[in-house]
Amino acid sequence: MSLSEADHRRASARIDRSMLAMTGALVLTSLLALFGVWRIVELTEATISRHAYDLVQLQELRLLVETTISLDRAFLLTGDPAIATESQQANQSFDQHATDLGAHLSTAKGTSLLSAVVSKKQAHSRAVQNMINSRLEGTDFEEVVEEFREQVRPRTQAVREALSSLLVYKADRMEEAARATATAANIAQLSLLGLAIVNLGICVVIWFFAGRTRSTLDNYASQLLQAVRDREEFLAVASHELRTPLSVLKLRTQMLLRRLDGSDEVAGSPESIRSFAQQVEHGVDTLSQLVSRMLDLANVSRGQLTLNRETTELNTLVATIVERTAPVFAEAHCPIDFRSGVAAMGEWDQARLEQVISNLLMNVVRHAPGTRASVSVDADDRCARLIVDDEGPGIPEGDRTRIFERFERAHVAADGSGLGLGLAVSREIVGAHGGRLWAEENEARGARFIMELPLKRGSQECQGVS
Amino acid sequence: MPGRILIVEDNREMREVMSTLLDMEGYVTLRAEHGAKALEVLSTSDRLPDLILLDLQMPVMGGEDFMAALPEARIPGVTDIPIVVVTASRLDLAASTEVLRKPFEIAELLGLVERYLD
Repeated sequence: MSLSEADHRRASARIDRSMLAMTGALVLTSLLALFGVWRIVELTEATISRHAYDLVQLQELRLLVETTISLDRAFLLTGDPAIATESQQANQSFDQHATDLGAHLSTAKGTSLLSAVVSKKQAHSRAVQNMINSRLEGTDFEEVVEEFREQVRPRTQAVREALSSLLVYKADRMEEAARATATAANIAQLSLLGLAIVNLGICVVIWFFAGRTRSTLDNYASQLLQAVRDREEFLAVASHELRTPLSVLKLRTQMLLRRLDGSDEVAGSPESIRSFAQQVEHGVDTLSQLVSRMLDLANVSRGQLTLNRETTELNTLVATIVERTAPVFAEAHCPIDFRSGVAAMGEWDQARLEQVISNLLMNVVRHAPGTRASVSVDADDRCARLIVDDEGPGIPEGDRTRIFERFERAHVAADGSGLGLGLAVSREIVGAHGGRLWAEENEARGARFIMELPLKRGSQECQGVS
Repeated sequence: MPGRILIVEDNREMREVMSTLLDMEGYVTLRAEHGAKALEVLSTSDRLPDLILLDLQMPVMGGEDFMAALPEARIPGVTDIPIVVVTASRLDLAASTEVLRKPFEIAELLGLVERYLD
């Protein structure tokens, strides 16, 4: 499976879409909840309106009852038939309102109380009609008054009491509905507020974790892509750089075979064959060194660089390496000058430091052949310092960081063995010691490499910004 | 008169083995470790080489810079010298450029040299 930047962009876009979908779902849920609460409040308000209507109807009934009672009394006093007719009309109106109210009542108790009112009103109406008839028939006034007192008045009181019971019942129901409405409204408000807070919290949490996830994904993808690019570049550079020593090996082997086969014009004496075999062995060693450097890089990349620390004096170590590489410098026409300084002792991996110092010296031979080189060692109370100067073309300021990256070279190596790994591995080795390695320009406008190592093990005092 | 071949190659061992091989075949070889050195050899030599075997990636002056600098060197007849690029690179080169890819066999090198010099 290959991972590309386009794959990463698509994955990120999927995260964005998921986050938007989740947020949309939360907003939709909130809107549905809002609609539900609004419907509850609306239905509760409708209940209150119905109770209010019933109460108005009841008040109307009460008014009609009182009107009828007043008219009946007036008729009793005057005996005017027109008043009796008016009373009958009020009774009819009462019946009509009672019927309307009965159709509107929804509870058994309300219906029962209304029935009581109606039946008592009917009883009252019958008593009134009897009294009217007696009055119209010319019955003695005193008797009619007595009839009113005995028959009509108690029924009047009964109607009033029945109406009061119904009114109290309806008023209680309305109060209950009002309380329920208030409670529903409060619950709705609190629910909405809670829902809004929870949704907001969920949104924040989702965005926070999604952001972190995406950041992690970006980081992983970036590292992964860089690793893929590194590997591809490594394979390309390695295959290229291995070809030259392979060519040498191949040519020498074929020359040896020609000599053994006698197809060579020069006689195949044992000495000349030994010389060729030694050259072939040297070629194998060169290839082996290249492979070791590749393995070094692999170990450094995996963080598996282990140090075998031992007490080392930097002046002595550098002097040994300078002496050993003197023939190479002579061949490259590079006069080398070594200036030792105060004793610089530390617990360092001598073999690894030798690798770093050799690499720095070989860089002079590779990139500044024919120029003067100078190597110096110095130390203060915290750090040992090695400075390697040359008078070659120098390193452009913009390249002084890049050359320490893997596969980077300021110029192609003169011996063809440079994989662009030397400085990268060297910096890792120095860094593992708690030191630092960097490049700058010297007075001769050539290149200067400076390595600083802490004198005390574990000290990070030589790891300032380079 | 034996053919003269200028080997421009930064790898010392490669330079030496090619030189030894061609010397053994009776050619006269000149050597340079980079393009600038090759220009110096060309300008100081009493007789120009008949063929240049040129590496591409070299310090100081690479093969492509050398080919670009050759006409400006104002050395009479130098631009008429055939050049064979000897490289491990997969770089895109002009179709007219003769290329010998590393690693190669002795027969390939000698066949190519013979083609130009015999």
